[in-house]
Amino acid sequence: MGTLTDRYVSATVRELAEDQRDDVDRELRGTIEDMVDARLEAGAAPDRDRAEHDVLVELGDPIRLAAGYSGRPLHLIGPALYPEWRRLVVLLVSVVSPIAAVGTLVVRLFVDDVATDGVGPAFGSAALAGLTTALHAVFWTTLVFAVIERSQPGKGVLGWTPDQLPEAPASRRAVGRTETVGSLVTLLVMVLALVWQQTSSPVRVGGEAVPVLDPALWSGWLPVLLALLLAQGVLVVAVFRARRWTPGSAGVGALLDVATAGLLVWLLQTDRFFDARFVDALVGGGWTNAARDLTVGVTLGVLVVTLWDQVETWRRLRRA
Amino acid sequence: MTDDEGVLAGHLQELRRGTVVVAALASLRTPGYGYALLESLARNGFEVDANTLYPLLRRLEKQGLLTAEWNTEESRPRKFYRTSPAGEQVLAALRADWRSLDASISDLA
Repeated sequence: MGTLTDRYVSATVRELAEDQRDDVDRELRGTIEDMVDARLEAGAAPDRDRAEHDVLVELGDPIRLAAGYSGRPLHLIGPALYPEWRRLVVLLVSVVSPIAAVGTLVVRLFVDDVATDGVGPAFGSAALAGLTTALHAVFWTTLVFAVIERSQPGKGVLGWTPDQLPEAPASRRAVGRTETVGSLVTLLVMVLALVWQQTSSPVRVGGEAVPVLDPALWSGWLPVLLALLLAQGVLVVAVFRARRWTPGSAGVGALLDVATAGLLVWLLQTDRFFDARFVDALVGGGWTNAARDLTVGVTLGVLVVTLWDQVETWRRLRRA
Repeated sequence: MTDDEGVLAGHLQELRRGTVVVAALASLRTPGYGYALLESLARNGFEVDANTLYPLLRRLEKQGLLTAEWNTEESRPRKFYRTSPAGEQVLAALRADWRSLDASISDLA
């Protein structure tokens, strides 16, 4: 083990090109000695070791010093590439990752034996697929951009043109086409799911399809639920045509949300929501606490979504 | 440090960033080595960090604005830098620009 100076100099020159090393090594050593002598002469340090230590602190991290000599960047992705990197990462994560998650969910729901395993593993692996895809997207994009940064420093690759500008809402309160379509699609999926679980349920007991929800609800609360969803759809279209949320439409929205959530939670908490045969099939398949887990899980889900919707609408109203 | 002082310090640093090159090219018309230059610049009001100046000298040498040779006559071998003819030209251009900037700013005020 050498002196501090030996270690510092070798840590610095290790980062440099072969033909630079000896020269920088020699000059840096001389310079450090000059600086140490100056400190001792000025009485700034009690002894040589202390002075050497202080000088190395002043010169700072050898990686930074070496970057000064070699001109190599001290960042992974610099300002020339950062906007392109960010745009691509956001695009990949927001598009590819949900596709992977939804694709996995659909495949697993059809392939898995939902009666024995429940829907938990399918949702679990969907979430995992989404997360893994996002990690891969961020990692590989970053790696490629870091390599580009080092092969042609200070230059962009993809460039930028005004055509890439995202659609601007008419005002900050305005409700755009994309979110309207998103809301309508969500509502449609919910309606279809309600019908689908009755007509072609994936759950089978003894070869016979068992609906997820109690069929008795069709002559009672399910039509009410469908009517509430329809009303939500009408509200979404009305808000889009008015281009913005108003206190009035936000109030109606909150009422509809609370009515929907209240109905669902009440049905769940009074055990009227799920078909008993469906729950029995899950319990029989080994999910002992299926009734409780499903009730708690779906209740929580409903509450979170409802609360989120209120927060989002309120935020839009306030951003004037 | 108050915010105002921080703002001023930041702008001053930006303003002085390029002046170290001018100062180094001007001083090294008389050959000098790294630490001696650091001290003489500090005496003349250019507070440069050691870890900025030493790599800068190398870069200027690589660009051909400084020439360098080792002096091994003294007890400690030192690399002496001197402003090259190309360095003189760049120095003259930088000084001319400096003066014209100063004149432009005086006109604005």
